[in-house]
Amino acid sequence: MNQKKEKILSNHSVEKILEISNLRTSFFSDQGELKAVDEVSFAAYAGKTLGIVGESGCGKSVTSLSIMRLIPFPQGKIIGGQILYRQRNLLELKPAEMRGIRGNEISMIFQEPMTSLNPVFSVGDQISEIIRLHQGLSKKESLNRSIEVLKWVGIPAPEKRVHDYPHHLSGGMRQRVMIAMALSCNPRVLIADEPTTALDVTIQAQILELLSELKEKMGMAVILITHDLGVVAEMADEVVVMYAGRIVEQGSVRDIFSNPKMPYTKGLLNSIPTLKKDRNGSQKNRLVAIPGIVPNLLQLPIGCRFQERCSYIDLICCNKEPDLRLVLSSSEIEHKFRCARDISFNTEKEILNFSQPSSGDQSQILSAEVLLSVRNLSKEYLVQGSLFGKKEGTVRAVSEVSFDIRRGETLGLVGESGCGKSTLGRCLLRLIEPTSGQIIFQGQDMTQLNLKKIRNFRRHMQIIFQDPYASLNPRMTVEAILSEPLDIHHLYQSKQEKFKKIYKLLDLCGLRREVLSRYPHEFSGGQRQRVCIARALAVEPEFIVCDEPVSALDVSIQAQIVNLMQDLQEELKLTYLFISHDLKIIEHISSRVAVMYLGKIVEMASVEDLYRDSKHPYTKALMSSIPVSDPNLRKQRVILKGDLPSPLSPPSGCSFHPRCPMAQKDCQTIAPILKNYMNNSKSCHSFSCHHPN
Amino acid sequence: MFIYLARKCAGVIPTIVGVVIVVFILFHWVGGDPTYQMLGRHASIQQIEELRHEYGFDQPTHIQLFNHLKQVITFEYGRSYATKQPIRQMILNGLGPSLSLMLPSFILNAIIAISFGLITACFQGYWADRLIVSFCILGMSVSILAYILFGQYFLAYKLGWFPISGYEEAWNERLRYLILPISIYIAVSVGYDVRFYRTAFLEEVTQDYVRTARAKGLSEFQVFFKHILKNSMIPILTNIIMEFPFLVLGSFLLESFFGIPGLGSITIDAIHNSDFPVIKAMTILVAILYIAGNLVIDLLYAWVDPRVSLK
Repeated sequence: MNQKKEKILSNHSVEKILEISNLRTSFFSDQGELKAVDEVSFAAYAGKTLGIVGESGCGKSVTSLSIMRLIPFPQGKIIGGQILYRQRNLLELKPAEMRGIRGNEISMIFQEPMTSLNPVFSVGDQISEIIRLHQGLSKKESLNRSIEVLKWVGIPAPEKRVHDYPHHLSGGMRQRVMIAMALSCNPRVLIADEPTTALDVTIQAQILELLSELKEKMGMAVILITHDLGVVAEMADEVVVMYAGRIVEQGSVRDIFSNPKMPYTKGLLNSIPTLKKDRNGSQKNRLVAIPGIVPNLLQLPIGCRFQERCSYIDLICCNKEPDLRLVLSSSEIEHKFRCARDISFNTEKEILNFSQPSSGDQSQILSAEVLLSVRNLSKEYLVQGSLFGKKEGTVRAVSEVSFDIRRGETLGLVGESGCGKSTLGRCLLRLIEPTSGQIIFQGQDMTQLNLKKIRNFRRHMQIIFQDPYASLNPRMTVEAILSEPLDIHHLYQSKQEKFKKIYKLLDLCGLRREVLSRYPHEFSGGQRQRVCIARALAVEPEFIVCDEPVSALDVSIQAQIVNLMQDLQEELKLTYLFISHDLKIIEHISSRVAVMYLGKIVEMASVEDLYRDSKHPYTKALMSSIPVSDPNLRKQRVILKGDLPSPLSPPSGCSFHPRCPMAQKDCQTIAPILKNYMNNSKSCHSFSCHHPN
Repeated sequence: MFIYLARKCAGVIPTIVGVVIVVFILFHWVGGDPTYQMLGRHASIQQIEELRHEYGFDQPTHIQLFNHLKQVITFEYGRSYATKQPIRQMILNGLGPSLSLMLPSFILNAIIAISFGLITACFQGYWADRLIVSFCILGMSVSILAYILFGQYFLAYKLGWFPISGYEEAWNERLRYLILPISIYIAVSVGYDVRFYRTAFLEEVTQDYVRTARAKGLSEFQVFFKHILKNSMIPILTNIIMEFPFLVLGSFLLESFFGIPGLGSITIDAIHNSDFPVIKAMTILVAILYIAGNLVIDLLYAWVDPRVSLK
């Protein structure tokens, strides 16, 4: 694949299809003009992928909507620049002419396949609508063509699926339908706005593979918008980094990843955890977070827009905003960056400077004491029809799960959405009542306690949820949020003592004291998650279930929060169950990892063993589907076929066998059990598979 | 589909039984004995006993309940205390005038409200939207009594454009009498409905699938009348069907002010005269219409929204 790419790169005759120059898009409100996209220029070439990266609020999506001329009017307006599509300026076209371009010559796919399809029209209706519109085919012809397009994007039995409605399809299937719709009229440009952000890693790998396959086949230009540098490294030929409405760096994917010039690009690259085997086994390093958040575009600082978060700030940065400068590039794609200072960043050296051995050697602080022990825990849901309907069956969200967590360790729990990992986390606190099994915490079986005793026990166990936007009561100030747990458990004698405790919590979580009188909506996502963490810490728990605590945050903010959680663990001797779908974060924070599939733990091992020598084919597939943020390491992936099966009717035998590349006959009938496997490192490694390797 | 229909209908039966029993309790135990009111203070005991026997009040409760059920099932409520007419006949007579007032009001109102709702949602924030919404609020804020007074005094009495009140069976005459009350009905309810539909449409306008539809190259007309309209059908249908009982019942106020002999005025008269059998018949009728309306909504949901499971 790499060789093929090289060939395209050296081919000088690639057609420039789309050229954007000095594009400016603003939104107008009572507070003034918000320059969402400010003097942005780039070009897209046939058969090439251009990646646009940046944190949320940097103008990536507004850029793509501007190309389609779909900026919501009258609040937003394209106020300057040119968008040349094959020598025609799209900004000068009449609305009817522009409609002839949209969906026909330039197509777009969106982030949320769940909501981007119209729920009340069948898949066939929605695809044939666009074909009829642009190609003037009859109803029957366009339906046949829809079936053909669905076949391209790898939808099984398209003749049947074409009559399905979106809610019949899984997330990955819906994104395939979106792609089919976008490609049905053979567009020359495809804009993909975070096409895989809402999907699981194994599905993401499928979709990315499909996109690059179709790009080769149809020779179109792809503009890929994403916040995931791993995806960019795997897919893009050229990269544009945006910050606060501006392009801050632009160049070939190799230049951007190996020789970043702008501190922001470098910060983004450093803030993502990399898998150890991809960074040549160097020591586990602390994540390097970019401090702060993207500035409010209404109150931009004078000078460089990144100055407040930049660690290389100098006087010159505050005087004048720097222009894009050219730098020697390794290919014919120009490498430009926007920074007044000329620092040669030596990435390797920087990382070494930042890396401190995080919390020493993990195994040293591990005590042998088991804090929490789970035995054969199951949670079943009855699926019932209506009042007169029959019972439809049971869903085993969690099925016979057993594990121990030792004091001071972090157990990572990883799996795709719907595998039961959140249910398991909530069962531990009995926020959801488990159906059977035991949860032994400090020698007490939690499942036997009545509700009143459980409430006392919750002082020792807390939970942090995924969505900091939804898990804070919008009508409560931070002071009320933090006082509530203290009040409930009577943890103070006097008002003074209470405030002392609250101030300490704020200090621990890196919040200023002024925040006490504010409401959750006044905070950014990262700050809200800090408030959530402070709330969990208020009762001085020993054990915290962290249910995807950083999944809703931007990468640079993710790094801040992960670092905070590691510091707190060390300082307060906390024990974590860290639930996530992100294998990189899990590797970074955990000492042991459990992999879940369809309600069962399929593999459990120390983090070193699991990532170096995974045994279960599912774990292997998960590992290989993670996009690696290094363009030199594009690899052959194990791509799993199909979706997660319905938990209502799990497959017989090994529940993974329909998707397993190694499946044999006995996998269909005999369910493997979790067996211990001793390896030379003497730590416990268990997995459930008949045919490892 | 048929099984779904059958199950939905079966699910309605307990509700109807409940309503019938509640009405029975209200009228037979809580409502008191109507014979005293009918015969006045100076009636002799014998007279009262005769009347109680005539209406079956002297029978044991379970027989009365049985008679009540029979009345509901056969829709034969006996005769009115006040007019001595058979109640079934009274209701059938009132149905025509009520429907001729309400059906046109209803349909015109829905058409006007949905189109204005779409226009305002389409031009949200522009002058057309602001103008229409201001008029809606104005229309809603004025009391229906003010409209009736204004219509009857200025338009009918002073200007003589319409008859002040009354009703005729002949179609052209009937129309002449009904134009004013129909216009008043629309003036009162259209404001509320436009705002309701506008909100329903605006909720859809910001959805992701609308952006997808635009990105396909569809015109605004296609986006609104195909993609948004079908998705908004659920709140629209709910709103329309919940007004459905009044389609049959007529409007109490408009009918009594304009002298239209529909079900609305029959009910008002029955309340004035403590005409219990008529009130009872109307109560059951309204309840059944509401339940039927809800049943129809469920079936329509399944029709417009494929996500509603037919199992």
